[in-house]
Amino acid sequence: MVYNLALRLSGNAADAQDIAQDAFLRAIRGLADFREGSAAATWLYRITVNVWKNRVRSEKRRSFWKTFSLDRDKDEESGTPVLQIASPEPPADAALEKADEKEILEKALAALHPEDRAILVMREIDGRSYEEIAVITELQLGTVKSRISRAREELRQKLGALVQDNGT
Amino acid sequence: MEHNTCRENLSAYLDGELPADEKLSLESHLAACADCSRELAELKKVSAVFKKNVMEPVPYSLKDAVFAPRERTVFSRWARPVAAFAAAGALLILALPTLREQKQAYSPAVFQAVATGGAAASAGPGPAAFGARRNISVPDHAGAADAAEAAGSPKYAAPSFSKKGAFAQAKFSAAARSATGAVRGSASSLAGGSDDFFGEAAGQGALAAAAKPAHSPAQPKWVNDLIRRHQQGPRGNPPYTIWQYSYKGAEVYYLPPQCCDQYSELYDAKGGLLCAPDGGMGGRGDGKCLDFYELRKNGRLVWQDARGAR
Repeated sequence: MVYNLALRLSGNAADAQDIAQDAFLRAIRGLADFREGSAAATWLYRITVNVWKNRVRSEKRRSFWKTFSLDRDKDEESGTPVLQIASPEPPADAALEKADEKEILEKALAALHPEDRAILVMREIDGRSYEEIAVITELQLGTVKSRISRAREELRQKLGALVQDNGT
Repeated sequence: MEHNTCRENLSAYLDGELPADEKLSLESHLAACADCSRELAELKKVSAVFKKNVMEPVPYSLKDAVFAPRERTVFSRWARPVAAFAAAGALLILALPTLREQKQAYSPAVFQAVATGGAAASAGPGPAAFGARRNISVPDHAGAADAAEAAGSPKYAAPSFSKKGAFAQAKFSAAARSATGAVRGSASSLAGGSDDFFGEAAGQGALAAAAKPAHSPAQPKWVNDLIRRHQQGPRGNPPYTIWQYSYKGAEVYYLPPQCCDQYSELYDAKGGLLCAPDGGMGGRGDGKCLDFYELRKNGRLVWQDARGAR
């Protein structure tokens, strides 16, 4: 799970392995900081997210932050979910419909904010509560709620026919 | 509830994260709003597609990457045993809260195995403590089974068994084995090993005693096929085993997890994948059959890879 969390944060396998490795080493070295009252997984995930954040900062990926504008935080910090209005047009690339389901999902995920991808992994795969995710990511509870809502909505639009409900 | 408010809350509703009053209000709106109902159905499908496809296998090299640098650069040679002992204690502390949370799913033997660093063997393989979830995606059980059945083939499609040799996981138990037995038990719990890992040495002895490489004529063909495939493939770590149980009145087959980032697998008699009773970071598998450890009966080791661990 740590590796997959790192993979969704970094977006590539090489960085994911570095992040996972770093996170595990920090976890082992920092066992003294672990509080028995907190869940071990939450603690380990938090380390992973922090390792990723530090890497992003240290590498000064300006282009990264331009791509994923920080303006979004205005809405996030208010805790108000941002509603995405579905485009009335069909999915941009109709050929995607024929592609492999995983491939379609990967393309859709690529458009999400890395942290949103990781949040979805924690929610969908590991069943973490919004509160736990807020602790791990150091975000407000409302922000977590809005990010999950927005990420799912973006995926819903991008997955197109794959998830369209025809009432059956 | 306003239409737009409803849409904003659909995702939280799906996750069971809405307060009771908002949930009631939303459900009331859903009953009258076809658009919101459709959107909710589509969000459920998004969730299903995500779960089915998002997980990637953990690179085999991660274990070495995690442990090798620590041994070379962090600890001097003389300090290794001391550090290993300290890490064992610390990791044990780390493991215990989770174990306590899941104590209903653990046999006393598992606790004993953890406490002793590997001195007890349980009556059968049990759930992992916690650790990285297994490498394969959460399967769409029904979909996969239906597809296989429609094709006239057994439902069992070796969804991950055939991959286990190729995909590594973090393999913390292996790294821990290089230090001490105590480290082995604790580190594997961090990584999500099963109780096979906790009590590997003693456990293997007990398993070996019980292991009668079985090719019973009454055994389903897919089980024999699976055994044959394993015998021809790389060894697992821990050694591959197949267990048979009675569960909710039906005959089922349980395949314990390989190290770390993997789920266990529970199949019906026809080879249809039912669920993952344990494994993964939470040690609770896919959460679809949490009662397996309480309800399973008549455990029998069907087969164990006589070649041992990888």
